[in-house]
Amino acid sequence: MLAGYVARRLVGAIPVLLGVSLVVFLAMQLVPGDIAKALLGPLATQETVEEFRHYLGLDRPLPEQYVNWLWRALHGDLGRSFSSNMPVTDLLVDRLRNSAILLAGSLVIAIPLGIAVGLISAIRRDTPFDRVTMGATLIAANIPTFVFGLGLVILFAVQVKWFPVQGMVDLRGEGGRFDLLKHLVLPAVTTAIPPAAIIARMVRSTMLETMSQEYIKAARANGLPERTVTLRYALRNALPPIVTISGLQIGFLLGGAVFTEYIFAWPGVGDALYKGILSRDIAVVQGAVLVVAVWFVLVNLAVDVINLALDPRARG
Amino acid sequence: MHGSLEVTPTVAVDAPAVSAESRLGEAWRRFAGDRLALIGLAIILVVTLAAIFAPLVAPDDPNFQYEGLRRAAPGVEGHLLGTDEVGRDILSRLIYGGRLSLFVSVTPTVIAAVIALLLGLVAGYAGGKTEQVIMRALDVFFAFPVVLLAILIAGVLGPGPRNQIIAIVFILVPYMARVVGTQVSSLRRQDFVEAARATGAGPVEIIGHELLPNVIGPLIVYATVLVGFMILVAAGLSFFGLGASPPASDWGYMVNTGKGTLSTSPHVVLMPSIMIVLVALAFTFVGDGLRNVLDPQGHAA
Repeated sequence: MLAGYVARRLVGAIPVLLGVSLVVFLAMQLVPGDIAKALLGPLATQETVEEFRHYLGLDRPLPEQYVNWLWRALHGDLGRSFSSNMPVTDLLVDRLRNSAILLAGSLVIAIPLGIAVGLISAIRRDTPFDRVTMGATLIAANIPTFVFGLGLVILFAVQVKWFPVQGMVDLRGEGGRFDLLKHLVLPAVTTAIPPAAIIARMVRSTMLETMSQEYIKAARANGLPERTVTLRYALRNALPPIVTISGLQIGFLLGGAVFTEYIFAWPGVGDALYKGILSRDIAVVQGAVLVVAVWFVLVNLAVDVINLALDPRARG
Repeated sequence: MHGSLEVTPTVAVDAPAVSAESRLGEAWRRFAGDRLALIGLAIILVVTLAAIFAPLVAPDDPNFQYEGLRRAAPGVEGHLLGTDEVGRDILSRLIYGGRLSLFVSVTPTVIAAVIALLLGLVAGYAGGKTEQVIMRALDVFFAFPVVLLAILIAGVLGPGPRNQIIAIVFILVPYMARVVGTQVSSLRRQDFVEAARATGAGPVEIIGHELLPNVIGPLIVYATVLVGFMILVAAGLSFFGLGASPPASDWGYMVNTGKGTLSTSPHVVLMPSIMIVLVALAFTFVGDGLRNVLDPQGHAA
């Protein structure tokens, strides 16, 4: 039954993915001026420009261009980087892995931290702990990722030199897992804290709402220990919205990661995106955004499936 | 740049029949009872007035470079917040920078609200196929992380405040239109709309007299909260070099140029960062306060 649902959701994701690809494709039409002319420079003759346009397929009608582009993208061909002349796919593969490492690191921090803080605040409602953490999360949710990242750099990489300022490996060291982990800490925390703050706030309000329900009162009236009531009854039922919120935050995590990668020179997709924008390397920008958006759609899908496993009532 | 987009305001539809004046007074009393909202409002007023009257308020020319006074610490004679990496007065730059920072956050939110209002009213009122098509098309945009979409659009259009505004309009319209659409869609089936229709009111009249007044409140609340979030997004774009370009500057760009001297003079980065967070928070507080005024029973924050 779960498998059937997953299959249905996968099919349902296809129009969304097509829409996403269409948006990314159409966004490229917003590039001002003639791409072919821009690439060839001011000295190119009209004839060469026409030839190059033909070579790039820019002289075809728009729908045909889209279908061709999509067809190639489906076969793993995202075009060539204009500045390095490398296939965009090759360029992004390593970076995708690096971004995944950063994302995993951030998730490992954001989700448990957010849920724990939210839970404790809900249980100790209106205590000093609750007030302080809710104030702190409100501020943390309004700090831009790049400001937070720079703040961490000042504190932990410049003042006390616990962690490296940037990069993914120590080029002079021997590398290895420990080295990677040392480089991962600050970027992962930077990306994780703002979403963790949102998760904490949502978990708190969801838990408070659940704890005011009749069956919780009934469980309490029956003399069940508070621990059991909170963890087994309230948390169990508050879990699906919590998973949904955490899943949504992954999208913001992916957005924030672009800034983190830039600040810490983390060689991920976001860093490629930034460099692509700087050098007006359209193919790279297109590829990077497409990859991240598809990733996000798949993450949302996974969140739905997890929720389903948690809450059989949602199976429709 | 986080979860704020998901805030969906609700509103009490039928207001009691009292005079508009006393209702306004009551609303203000409730708003003024919220200390955070008042603080937020005060911050917004001060920053906005300072930005508008920048030439009168700023102690210095924001672009004048004091030779030999680079990266002066806050409190140095004549420079309350210190000077930046090329010796410009930071306070004056913050005041002038506020013009752009506020402009590129508020303008797109207002533009997006108008577009979303039209889309949402049409979708919600027409219902059926029209609603389906509009809402499904907007759904595609929800598949993108918002900040990424803003970077994509600003990135392909090229740097500059105008393109920054276009990018922000793009990311806001789907979210705002959904709020309006859902609201209108549920209002359409209510009695007072049916009654208006029964008395022979046409679509324009129904939309203008019955639906619009009921969606405008929640939309204003939502827009206020969103301005706070857009302060962050706009600052992010500027930080990425997709916004203001020299000699013009805004808070995000000040953070960007200051980060080169982060280790020796962190205050150059710190000052504009504080402004960004402060103003973003202020709009959030005011938005929450407005929501409580419009919907006293709803979400107690």
